[in-house]
Amino acid sequence: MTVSKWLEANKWYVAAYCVVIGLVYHEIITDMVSDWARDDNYSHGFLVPLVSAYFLWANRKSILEAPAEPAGWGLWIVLLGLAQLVVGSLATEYFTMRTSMITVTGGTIVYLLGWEACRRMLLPLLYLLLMVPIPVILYDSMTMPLKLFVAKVSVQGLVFFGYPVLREGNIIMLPNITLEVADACSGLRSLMSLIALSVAFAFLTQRGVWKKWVLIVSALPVAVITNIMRVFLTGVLAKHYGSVAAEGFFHEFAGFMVFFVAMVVMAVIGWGLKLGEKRHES
Amino acid sequence: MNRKFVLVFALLLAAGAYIQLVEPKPVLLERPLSEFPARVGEWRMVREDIFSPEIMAILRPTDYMSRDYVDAQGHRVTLYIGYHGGRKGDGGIHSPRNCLPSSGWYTNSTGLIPVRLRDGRDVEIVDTVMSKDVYTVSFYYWYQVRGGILTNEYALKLSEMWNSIVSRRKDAAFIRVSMPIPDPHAGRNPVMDRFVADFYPLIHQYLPE
Repeated sequence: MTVSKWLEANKWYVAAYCVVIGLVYHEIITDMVSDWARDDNYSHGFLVPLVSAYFLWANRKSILEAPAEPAGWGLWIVLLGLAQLVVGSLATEYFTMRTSMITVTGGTIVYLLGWEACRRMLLPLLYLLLMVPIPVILYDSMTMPLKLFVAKVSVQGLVFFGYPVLREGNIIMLPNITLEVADACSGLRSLMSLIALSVAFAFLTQRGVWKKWVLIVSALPVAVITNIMRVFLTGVLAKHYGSVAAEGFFHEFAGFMVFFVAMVVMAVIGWGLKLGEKRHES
Repeated sequence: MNRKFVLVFALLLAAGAYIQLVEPKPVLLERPLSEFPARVGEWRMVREDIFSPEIMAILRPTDYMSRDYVDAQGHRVTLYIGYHGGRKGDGGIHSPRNCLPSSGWYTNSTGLIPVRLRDGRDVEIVDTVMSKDVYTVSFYYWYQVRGGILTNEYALKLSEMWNSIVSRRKDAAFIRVSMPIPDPHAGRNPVMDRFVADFYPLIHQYLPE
């Protein structure tokens, strides 16, 4: 039997599965959605399920043709996911609770349809992980060194071009203004969104495995470099136009511009990787 | 009937019911922190902070106190105790390791130090020095869970999980002592050590075992 035939026979069960998941997880889901709305760093969360659905749709042929060979191991994965849910909710650990949805769904697919079918659905399934905010403790310990790096390099740039400037940690002091390279302007705010985009972009445009990885991994330096430019330019503007350059509209606009520039850079890298491909073929 | 589907549904609903019904029981303080003495040894309370509704909405402690004490020489030390008893709607503990740096504080140094108590015991707590703008502050902090001391956030989370499963409670307290210092590299601060030694037994009494 193929997945396609299986789906025909079990469509009501699949619908019921969605209802049951909704019932068990509705509080966890609404909570996560309000995080997306509140935290700029995770606003891409709204897009992730859509992109995941697109991946499912794009691979539908291969998925529907997969053999349906249920594997008992899947039940253990379901149990692992439920253990995640119970332990996570006892400890109010959101990451564990939220990702348990994905574990349970993956396990159910293996249990009902087997490994091969699950393998073909792995991309849309794992992509969903990007909608779950990373625990704050981990996120901060990862981004703190990058943040300080951004501050350090921008200050060296400003000094090089003759701007009088002092740095203490992630605080940059110009004669008339203090810039704080806090979360929002560290470049690491946009990092998660940029990674989510670069993964989607890599799988949509690149064929080779290493090319996908190059594109995904390049999100990190791109985020860091565009943010160094942002802090540097804010410093230059602040010198000439005062603190308005670092606040309000300019601040928001610069944030948007940085993200836009980063996306353009990612697109250029993707295009470059394609270029090599063509040359190789001819 | 697809038995496998039914089994998955049953397991999911059972787990869902478990997390809905078997909630940890909140543990309330026997005496509210507002009754914490205003005089402790030579220390005298000079200020007590009441947090704004905005701050309370983020912190959501079960009980808290934020006070300044001064000693005979005029050293002024701030003591914050946040007690999170696990009532519905209570927030979790906010670690200074996350909160302060993300609001612009720069960590000069951080590490564990033993502090000698009056009874000769040593307790190990976190000593961190942070700066923001022109201010440099020395912070000592620790977490207290069921009478024991924890100094890192991962251990705190694990103990919370363990206590929820084993004894259906997840109360924990955060204790922070702080004082402005002139130089980030001045090393250990004897005033802070003395403050901890003076207050530790009393804090211990107020929090649940």
